[in-house]
Amino acid sequence: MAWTTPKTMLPLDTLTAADMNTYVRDNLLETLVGQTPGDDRIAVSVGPGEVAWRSIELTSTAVSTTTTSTSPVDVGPTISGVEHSGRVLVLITGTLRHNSGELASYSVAPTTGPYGPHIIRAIRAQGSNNNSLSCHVLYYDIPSPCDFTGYLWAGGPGTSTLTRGQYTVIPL
Amino acid sequence: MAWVTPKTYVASDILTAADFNQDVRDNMLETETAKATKAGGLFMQSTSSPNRFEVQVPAVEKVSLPHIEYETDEFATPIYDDPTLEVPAATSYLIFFAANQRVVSGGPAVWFSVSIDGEEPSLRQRMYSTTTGIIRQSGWFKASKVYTPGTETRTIQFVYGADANTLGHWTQRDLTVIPIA
Repeated sequence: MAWTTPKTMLPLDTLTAADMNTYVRDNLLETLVGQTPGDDRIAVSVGPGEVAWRSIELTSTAVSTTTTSTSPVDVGPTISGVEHSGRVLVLITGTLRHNSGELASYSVAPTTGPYGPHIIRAIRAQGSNNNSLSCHVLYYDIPSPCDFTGYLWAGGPGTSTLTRGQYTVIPL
Repeated sequence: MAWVTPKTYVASDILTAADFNQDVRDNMLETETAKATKAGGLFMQSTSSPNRFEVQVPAVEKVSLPHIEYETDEFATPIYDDPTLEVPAATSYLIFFAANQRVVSGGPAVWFSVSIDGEEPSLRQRMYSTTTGIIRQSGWFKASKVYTPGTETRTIQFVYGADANTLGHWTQRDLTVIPIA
C-alpha cells in the first residue's frame, strides 16, 4: 500500500471502516515501525511518502589471497543484493604486498553499472613488505539491488598478496 | 504541527473530530514516512523537537574531479580549491575525502585536507605524502565544531599544501559529506 495524507475530520463526520483502513492501518504499515527490520539497519527515505530500512554489510576475504595477473581478478568475497536509494559508500581495508617490488592493488566495486573493477580508486602498495591500507569509494548511478565484489591485481611481473582484506557497504 | 502523545480512551469515550485530527492526522504527519520527500535521505533526530525526526536531504553530497597541479610559489599559504560542496546546514558532518597524491619536485612533503567555511583543517586531518610515486590516500573525520542547523548552506572544500619550493600533484579527488543532525 502507499502512504495517503490523512483526511481532516469535521464535526458530525462519520469515521468509516474505509477511513480507518486507509488513514490509520495502511499508513501505519508504511511507517518504519510498521516495517519489521533486521538488526543493524539504518532508516532512509526512498521517495515521497516512502521509507525503508537498509542493511550495512561487512565481509572479509580469505586469510591470504594471491594473483600474478596484471588485470583485475575477481577474488571476492561477494555481497549480494544490496538495496539502496542510488548511492553506496564502500569502506575498504587490507594488507598488500608484491614479491618483486611492483604495485599490488585491491579494489571493491559493484558488478553491474558503469564502474567495472574500478582500478583507479583502489588501495595499493609497492614492494615486498606488508602495508596495511584503507580507502573509501562512493558509488552512484548503479542499479538497486546490486552485488559487490573485490578485485586484486599486480602492477608487473610477480605475485600480489592480499591479507586481512575487508570491506563494508553502507547503502544510502 | 508537533507530535502530541495520543490520549488514552476509556469505555464510553466518544472519538471526536478534534481527537482524530490531533491524535491521528497530526501525529501521522509527524512520522518519518510523512516527512520523506525524495530518495536518498537519512533520518536524523531533531534536537529542537526530540519527539520527531527530520530528513536531511540530500543525505550525501559527492563530487569527483580528475586532476590538479600547483606551482611552487603558490604554497606560501594553503590553497583552497575544488572539489567544493555547498551542503545543507546541519549540526555536524561526517566527511570522507580521498585523492591520488605525489610530490612532483622539491619536498619533502605535500598534503591535502578539507575545510569547512574556509577554516583551515587541523594537522591530524591532513593527509601527508613524501613520495614521488602516486599513492591514493583517504581520510575521514567528524566535524568537531557544533553548528546551528538552519536554512543556510555551508561550503566544504579541499585544501592543498606543501613544503617550501615543492610542487604537488593531485588526481581523482573525491569528497563525500554526510550531514549529521
